[in-house]
Amino acid sequence: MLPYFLIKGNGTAGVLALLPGLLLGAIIITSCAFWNKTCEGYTLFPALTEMLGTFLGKAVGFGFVLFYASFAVSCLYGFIEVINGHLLLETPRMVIAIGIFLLVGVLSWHGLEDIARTATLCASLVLVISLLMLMGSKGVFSIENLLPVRLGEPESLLIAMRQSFFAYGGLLSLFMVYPALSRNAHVSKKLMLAMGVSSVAVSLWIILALGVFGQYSTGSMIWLPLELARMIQLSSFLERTEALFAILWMVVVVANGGMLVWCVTEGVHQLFGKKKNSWLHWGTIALLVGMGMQTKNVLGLLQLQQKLSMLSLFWIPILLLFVIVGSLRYRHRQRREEGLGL
Amino acid sequence: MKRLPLQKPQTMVSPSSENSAPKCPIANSLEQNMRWLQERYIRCSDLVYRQFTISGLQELQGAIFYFDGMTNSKVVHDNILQPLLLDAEFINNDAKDAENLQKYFSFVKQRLLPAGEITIIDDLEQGALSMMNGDVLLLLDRCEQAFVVDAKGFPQRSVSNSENEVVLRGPQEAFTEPLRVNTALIRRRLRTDQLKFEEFILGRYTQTTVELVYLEGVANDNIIAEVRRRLDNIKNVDSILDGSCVEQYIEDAPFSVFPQLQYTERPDKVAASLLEGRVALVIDGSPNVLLLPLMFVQLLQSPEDYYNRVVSGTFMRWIRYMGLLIAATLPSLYVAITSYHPEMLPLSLLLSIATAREGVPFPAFVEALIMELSFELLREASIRLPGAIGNTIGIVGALVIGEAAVSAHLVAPQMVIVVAITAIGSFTVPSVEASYPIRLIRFPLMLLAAAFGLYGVMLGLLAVLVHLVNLRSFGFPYLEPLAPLKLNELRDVLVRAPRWLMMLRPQFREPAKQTEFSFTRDFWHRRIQPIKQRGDHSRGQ
Repeated sequence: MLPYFLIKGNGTAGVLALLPGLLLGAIIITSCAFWNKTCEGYTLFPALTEMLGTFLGKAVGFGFVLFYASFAVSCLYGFIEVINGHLLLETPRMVIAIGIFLLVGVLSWHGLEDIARTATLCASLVLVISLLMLMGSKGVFSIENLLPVRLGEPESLLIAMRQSFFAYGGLLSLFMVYPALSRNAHVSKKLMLAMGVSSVAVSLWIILALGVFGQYSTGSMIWLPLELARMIQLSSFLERTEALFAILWMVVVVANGGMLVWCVTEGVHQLFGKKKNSWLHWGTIALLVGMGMQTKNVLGLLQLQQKLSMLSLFWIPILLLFVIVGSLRYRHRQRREEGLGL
Repeated sequence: MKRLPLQKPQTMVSPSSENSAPKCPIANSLEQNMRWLQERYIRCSDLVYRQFTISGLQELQGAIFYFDGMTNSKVVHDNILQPLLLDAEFINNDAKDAENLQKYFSFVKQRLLPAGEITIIDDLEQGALSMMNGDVLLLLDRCEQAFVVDAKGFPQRSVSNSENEVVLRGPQEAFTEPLRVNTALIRRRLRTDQLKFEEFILGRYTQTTVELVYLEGVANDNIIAEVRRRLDNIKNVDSILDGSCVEQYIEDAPFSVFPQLQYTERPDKVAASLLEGRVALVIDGSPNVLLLPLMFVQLLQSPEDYYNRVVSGTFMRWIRYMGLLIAATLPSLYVAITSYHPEMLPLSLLLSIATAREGVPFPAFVEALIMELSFELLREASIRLPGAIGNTIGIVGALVIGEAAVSAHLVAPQMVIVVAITAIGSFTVPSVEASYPIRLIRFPLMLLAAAFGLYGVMLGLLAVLVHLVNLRSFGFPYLEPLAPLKLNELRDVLVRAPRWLMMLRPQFREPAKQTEFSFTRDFWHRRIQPIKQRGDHSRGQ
């Protein structure tokens, strides 16, 4: 949905709205690395209670969990709408949602390592899909569709920036993931590299869509991957293969969704101070399904996305502020204790 | 030879409830020892014993015990009885003297028993166990030690061709049931002192010998220790009749459809696996050897890949991967596309399918189910039937039933083709134990395809993938080297690299992560407990 929000009303210049998000992403990664270095060995919630006190720490932690939950619901229900709207028109949304959430729930139950392995396996498939999309679009891509570059209305640009902010805000999941990865000394560098690569990939993808469909059409398409998949011609034998590629895109959704849901369930476990508890885990999954079902259709999802993007303008900076200030206070306290020989 | 009479003993000696039973020292009196063994094996008509006087000395008695059918009669007659009865010459005729008794004992051992393997024991229990392994127990009067003479001669199959792992090029021999034949086949290929065979006796009633085989310095020490621990904990089960019993006791995920140990009946495959750092379990009475740990990709590798040229081996491997994919997904894809996404097919094909399906009263899913189940029934029936009939039934059944079903408009011709190609695809998988999960997951995938189309198929495939990613084989990820990705080892997965490029052993030589081992250890501890703790001694097979 991101290209829809970026390009709508902004045309080609909408790609520039990715810049605030990029900046936010860099800040998140830096804060995360700083926090982890200060509170080495702690996972997020114990670190928050250590830095900010029990009550405030848990409140900020709850804020993180809520953000992860809203992001996960937004991401997964976007795909559910694609399936429900284009492939399984008569199947109830609830049934599709239960299928996806069950799968993602099992994956997140197995842990981060298994999620990473699943993503590793799926990466080659994603690469193949992307290459096929490129090849399929080669014949219709036109540089002229990218011109003119114009700035749209301020309101549209603001919406675009907010959406980009929200999209990159998903990097907050690093606060859950980083402690598991930080054994590797070069993790922060790799993360910066990964963010850079994915930003370039997203930008190229949006430019590809603009070049193929033009500014007006791109700004009115909600499901851009599906539209790009329609351009792929495997051979004269198979036609209308967008269903196949939409399904293949499911691997991306499952890998992403798995990690996001893991952040939510792990956060809930840490909030309650529990280790692996199946009731907590599956109860949280059920809540996520229920949250998503509040949006009745794609319009409801669009509205949810807009509200979440507006909230994220305050939500994310506040969470980051607490983490940074808390880390500074914690470091100061530690140095004081070291100075006193405690 | 006197056989044991069928009569009630005066005292009943019950079998020991544990392998490490209290010692039953050999008595000074031959009569006492003989009585113990007779009471122990009362109503065992195959027990044979012979009491005799040692040649040249009337007062010195001896007796041999063995089981008829398990020993080599020629060895018993020529290498035990004949020397003792006819050829003995003693240094000192007075055998009552303890000092001379010792000389007499060593004289018997060194000069009168021309057998290859002789063990001296002082425990009748050990002697009884050796008898059950086909050895002969030689007892001497006024002697608290006895001889166990190797005279094994039970009927056995000769080394023949492998029936389940056929290769066109490469060694053709396969394992048989006797343990020592199998270990010899392995030893013949790995002529190094680093090749170790550790013996375990498992099963209260079967006393099955299981050998843990590995190359010292090559195999992962953690795996060896873990296997030892698991085997030690199943010593008191009732029976180990085959490798599958061992497998079911020691595997990590017993309810998974995917095997975590590999079977093979080829000695060359075992040798190659040992060289990679894996560990083998050779079970007496089983022509299959277990290899562990197991990675999924190893189920799709055949020894023939390595005996053929690089390009040929790579090509055959990719044919197998394609066969696996077809076997698992073709019926479900057919159901999904014809039921939910017919727009994907070109118009001419769509019309052809529609015309063929005209008059078929069942939906595509039911068609597919009928055909797949019929094929599974035929396959299962042809295994049970004797050779010629089985082949005929298979061919006739497939042709006649398929043709009749199409003529009766019960199924469309395309479905017959789909099922046939699926079956052929499943036969390309070289491992029998890998073909079962493929056959099994086909049915849920068809159900999901019928319910949700391509979305359902993808859901099912991802569920299988998630399961495989989580599966471990003795602590090692099942999908290694694909996940976690190990680029160095992909040269033997995606292609069959030349031998001079595969100079490094697989990375499961490295110790598994402690967390992964803890998981398997805890799970396994919960599942298996020693019998005496449960208080249930009536566990049957």
